[in-house]
Amino acid sequence: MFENDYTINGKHATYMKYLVNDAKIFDRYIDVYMNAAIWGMLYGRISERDSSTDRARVYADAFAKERENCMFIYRLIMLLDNTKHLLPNERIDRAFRDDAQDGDSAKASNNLDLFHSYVLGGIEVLYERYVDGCTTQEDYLTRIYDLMTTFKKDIAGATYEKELEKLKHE
Amino acid sequence: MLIKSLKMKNFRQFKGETRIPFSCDPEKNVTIILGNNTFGKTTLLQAFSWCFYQTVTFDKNPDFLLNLEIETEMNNDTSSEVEVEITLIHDNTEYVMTRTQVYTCKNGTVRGLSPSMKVSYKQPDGQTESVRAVQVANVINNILPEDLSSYFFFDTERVRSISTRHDVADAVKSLLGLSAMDNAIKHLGLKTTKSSVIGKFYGSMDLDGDAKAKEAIIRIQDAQAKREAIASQLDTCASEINHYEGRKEQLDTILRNNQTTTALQKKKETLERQIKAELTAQESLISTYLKEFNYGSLQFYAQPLLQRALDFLKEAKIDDKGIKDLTAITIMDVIKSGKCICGAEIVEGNKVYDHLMHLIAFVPPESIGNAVRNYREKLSSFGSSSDRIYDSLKSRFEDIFRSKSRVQEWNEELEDVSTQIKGKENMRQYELELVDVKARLREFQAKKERLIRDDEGCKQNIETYQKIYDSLVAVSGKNKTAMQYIMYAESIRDWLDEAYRDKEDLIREKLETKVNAIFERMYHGHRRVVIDRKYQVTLLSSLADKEVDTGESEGSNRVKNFAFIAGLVALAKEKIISDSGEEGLNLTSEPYPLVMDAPFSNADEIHTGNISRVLPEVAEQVIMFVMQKDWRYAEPLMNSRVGLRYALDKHSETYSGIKGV
Repeated sequence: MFENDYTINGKHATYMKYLVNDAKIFDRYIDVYMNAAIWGMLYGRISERDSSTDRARVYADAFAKERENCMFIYRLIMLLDNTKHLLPNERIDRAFRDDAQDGDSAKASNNLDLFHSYVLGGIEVLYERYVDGCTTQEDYLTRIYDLMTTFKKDIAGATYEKELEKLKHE
Repeated sequence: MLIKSLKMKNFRQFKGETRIPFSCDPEKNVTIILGNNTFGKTTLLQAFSWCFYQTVTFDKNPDFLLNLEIETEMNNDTSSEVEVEITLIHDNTEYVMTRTQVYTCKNGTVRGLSPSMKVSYKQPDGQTESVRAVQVANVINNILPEDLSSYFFFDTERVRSISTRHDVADAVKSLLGLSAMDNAIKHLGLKTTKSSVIGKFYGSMDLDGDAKAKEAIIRIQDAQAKREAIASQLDTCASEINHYEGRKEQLDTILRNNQTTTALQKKKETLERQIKAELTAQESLISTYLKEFNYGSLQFYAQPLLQRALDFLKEAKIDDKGIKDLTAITIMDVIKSGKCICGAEIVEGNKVYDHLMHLIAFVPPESIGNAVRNYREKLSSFGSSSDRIYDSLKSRFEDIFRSKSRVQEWNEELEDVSTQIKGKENMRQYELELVDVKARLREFQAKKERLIRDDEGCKQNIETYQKIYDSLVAVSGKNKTAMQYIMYAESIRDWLDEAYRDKEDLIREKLETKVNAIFERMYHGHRRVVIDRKYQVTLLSSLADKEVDTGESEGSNRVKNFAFIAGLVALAKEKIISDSGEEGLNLTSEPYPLVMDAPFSNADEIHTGNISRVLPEVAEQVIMFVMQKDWRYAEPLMNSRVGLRYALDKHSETYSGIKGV
């Protein structure tokens, strides 16, 4: 797992290229790949491979460098994905047992496809969130900061409504 | 010259004072002094030559002139005098010549001191004037040259032949009046004779001067040319300075009038510089911001998922009975060994075996408990730096935007400044030009000063070389004058030379004719006298149409000498030379007396007769010291011409006197 090149096609390739080469938000395709997995899961977004002609490839040596992170995210996705309606034990097995040497390689392959569906969905989310409405470098820099700030508030449970409430009490 | 008298004092045997006046009567011009051998005839002749030239030719003790009787009478510390005084008339002037020698007696020995000579003459007004000591020798030589003296103070017995004498040419010339011309010629001289007139003129010329003057002129011209070049350079310099000063003034005015613009210009430049620097810093900030985001975004955004996973795993209640790091393979190996670590027997089916087989279900790979446990730890730590990541990114983001707002602000300012100075010329450019103009001005001022210094140098050079040139031109003028003088002097010399040669030839010819005429009258044979350029006299005999030198006998020699002397004095007396001056070159000569000691000795009676007849005719004055026996032959022929007659009186061998007869 994460030992061979991975090729992304179609709009996902276009988005990934754009995020790296034009918006310059991410440094490498692997960065987009890993972040996309997280964002896919965060926003519950999965996507199918696109068949249009554009291509972008994440190379094996990039995986080699980020293998630990990739495995970490993979297991995370496998633990948290609920799309297959598995029992908790089955999700744990999916995360920890299927990719073992003596594991079920067919299952593992399906698992990876699932993982990639999140990656592709995540790429779409990244593109939407980071690129939409941005034209200048300043736009992108601000977007990065804004997204982080909003996200930080979100995870702290500070929803828009809660913020309003806070303001009311002041 | 006429000898008026001879006065002797203690001169050899002439003890005491002896005075002998001589006949100066032109008709009776002969004075005869008779005396036999040892009476003192020769001493008389010596008295003349001692007085004139301080020379004597006595055979015995020639340096001691004091009368021996006087000497004998002298006591210690006493002195006596020997003195000879001759009074003569030369060139219409009466001269008195006195030679004195003092003898002193010391320790019984009598010695003569150095003789002294005094010459005085009577001026036309009758006053007696002394000749200065330094002039004495000259005066004497003028009156009678020493070279010729032996012809006129004629010691017949001692002199063998005139022809054996040394060169008497000068003396003869002098006597016959040629020496003035000869002296003049010699005085004018040659270029190579430094002491001569022409030599001195030549020597006074500065022959280097002309070359130096030419060099000086070249230097002056060089300096002049340099000055002209400098002047043109100075013109250029001045116009350049003028131009740049004008431009400086313009620039000063522009800059003064646009001081605000200048300041704004400067501000604009500062802003531009600041913006550029800020943008660079900003770029670096952005780069760091993005790098940090790339590094941290995964951890940051994974945060809720991590928590969810942790929660899920907690709820899943993973049966965690496994022993850490114990795997199924390890257990299988233990079973295979048949003995547990505790030492219990492991046999398939026994209790220990069942326990171990049950344990396999809880260790990897059968159990994922360990993996999950490890993963859970990682889940806890993975997002641990999220807050730091956010804070750092936030701070960087703020930095970026502060920087951006600074740039924004400056850009606005810049725009404002640009608007203010828009349309106005670039003051900076003028400032730069002003700096350049000032530098150029300094450069040209320095050049101007240098040129002025150079010019001053040239001017001084010109003055220096002008002075040199002027002095050289003066020298050149002097040279010209000297050349002129030399030309005059050479012309005069050549003219004199020519005249002199003519005269000399004429004189020699006349002298030869005269001598031959006299010789013929004296000599009773057929011989001819020849006088060469050196006035050497040779007797030639005619033999078969040829004239040959047949040698000379004592007699013929005597006659020849008489003839030569007689010829000489006759010629002088006749003033033939003066009369011969046809081109205004009148030479003066002086008649001379003949003072003769024993003129007739070795002459036969015919010769004696001839000589006696001729001598009084040709000579101005004849003074003869004659032996009684010779006088016998001469007296009949000479008697009528004798004016005074004396006889020597011998008192003893050391004492002679004289008395008139």
